[in-house]
Amino acid sequence: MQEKFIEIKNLNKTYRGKIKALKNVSLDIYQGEVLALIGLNGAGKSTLVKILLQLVIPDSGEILFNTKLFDRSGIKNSIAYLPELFRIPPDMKAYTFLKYMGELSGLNKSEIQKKIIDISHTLQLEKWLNKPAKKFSKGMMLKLGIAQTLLDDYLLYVLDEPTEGLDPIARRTVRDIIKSLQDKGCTFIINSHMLSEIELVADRFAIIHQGEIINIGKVNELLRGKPVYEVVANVNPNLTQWQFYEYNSLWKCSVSTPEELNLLLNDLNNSSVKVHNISMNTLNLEDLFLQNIFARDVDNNKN
Amino acid sequence: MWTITKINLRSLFINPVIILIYIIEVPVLLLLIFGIKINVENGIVNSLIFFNRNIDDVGILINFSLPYLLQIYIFIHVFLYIITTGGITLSIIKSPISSIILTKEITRNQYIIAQYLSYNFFIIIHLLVFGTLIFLVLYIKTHLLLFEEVFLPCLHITFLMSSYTMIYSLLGVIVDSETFVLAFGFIIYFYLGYHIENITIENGLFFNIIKYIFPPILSIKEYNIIIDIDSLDLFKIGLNIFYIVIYLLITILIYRKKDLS
Repeated sequence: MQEKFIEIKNLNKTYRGKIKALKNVSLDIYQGEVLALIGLNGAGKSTLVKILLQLVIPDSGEILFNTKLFDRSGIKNSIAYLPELFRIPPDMKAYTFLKYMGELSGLNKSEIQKKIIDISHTLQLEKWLNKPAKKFSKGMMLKLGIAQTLLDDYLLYVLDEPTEGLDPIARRTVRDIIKSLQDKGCTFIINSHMLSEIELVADRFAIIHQGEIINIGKVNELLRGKPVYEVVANVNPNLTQWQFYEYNSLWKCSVSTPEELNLLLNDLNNSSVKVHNISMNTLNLEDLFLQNIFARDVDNNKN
Repeated sequence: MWTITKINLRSLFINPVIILIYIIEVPVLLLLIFGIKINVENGIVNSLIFFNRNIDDVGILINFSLPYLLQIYIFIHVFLYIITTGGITLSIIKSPISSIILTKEITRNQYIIAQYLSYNFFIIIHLLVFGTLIFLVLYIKTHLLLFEEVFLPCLHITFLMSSYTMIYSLLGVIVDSETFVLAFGFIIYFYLGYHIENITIENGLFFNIIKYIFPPILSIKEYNIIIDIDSLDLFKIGLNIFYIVIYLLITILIYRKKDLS
């Protein structure tokens, strides 16, 4: 059994007295795991992460770090954070920025220099070190953001969309880096919409929807080997009990059991909707995510 | 904290607005050093030699216009400083890297103080360097120690801009908008600063609130009439420092409770 690293208890956050970003969120994060926070835009993922980093102040609830009240004094200089849409001032050079972050992490000059050379080599940033940020593409900027998280050996890595905009080689490099740091005992919290990418690195995932955690579990247990039946229709069937989404001018719906598949086909038949295709695949994180979100929305509508 | 101050200071010195100040200052200094020879008798300018051309009978004109030229020179600086120091709002609230910095061994209090120090050090260093250069050049050219004419205006502007940075920070953490804060700064300096003394209860609550919440702006008019200043008013400088500390404390208190994007 892994040790609890962070305990989040009953967090609530409302912005401007109206927007409920988090509703009674509780979550345990274990030492050395990669936890993926997944959810739609505005689901509350970033708010949860920012509360953890003390950038946003919760209305109520508490965070325990190694069973002690989380005030960052026990974890200072132990967190690496990559914010969503990472950017630096346009006139700042990549090298200056990395040196700045290294100094703030308490590293000495020679350590910073060595680290910058190593990291820029790994992420293929060498040619960009002396260029100002305004010349950086989205992918290069993200590489720089990842580079600053690798300057020191941190205990906790909080990465918000770490692979969006990266080329396939860089994505693989980031995955390898995460795996190697995880082997050293580092803990990761990753926010991402790239579910296929997340599936490759995460040990556990938490689905956040409308400020609540609606499902949490191990990727291995919930996904591997489980079948999913995909039904494709030519037109939108407008069946409220089933979640159809548009894909290449066709309408798709995924179900997880043969019984559900029978029910769905019956409903389509009753509605005189022509089925274009039926296929059986292995359940992936995206299917699971969509199923969870849809089930919750149906429940909310019933209530 | 000092790392943040140092990096901020470096970026301020290469800010495009400040480069504009250099474009104004450097030619003025070069002209003064290499192009002009001043003949002074009993502390009054008698004649000028401008690039080996003797210009007689300019004494009255020079003696009359020099304080105004100095005032225009300072006015341009203040204008550009207002724009530059307005950046403190952006640095505190919407800096793209502030969220990363605050995950390091830096408290929010230290972050605010570091920002404030960097903007103030920047103004002090800039005014001190150019003030000293102008002072030395004028001393070499005229053999006059123009302490009050050069250093006092610099000192006054430093204190004024120091209060400004704090007003900007305070308003910035309250309203979250750099544009609003900058516009407010211009209104304070170029309008309210000259009319605040005459504001009474009939002018409405808004102007009265400004008058009593931001008393340092009462000294704007006085700071601009630098030619009439004979000595330092220590009480007013002390009052300014008092208000700077008050603004700083309120800014820190608000910033500690603020949600950062």
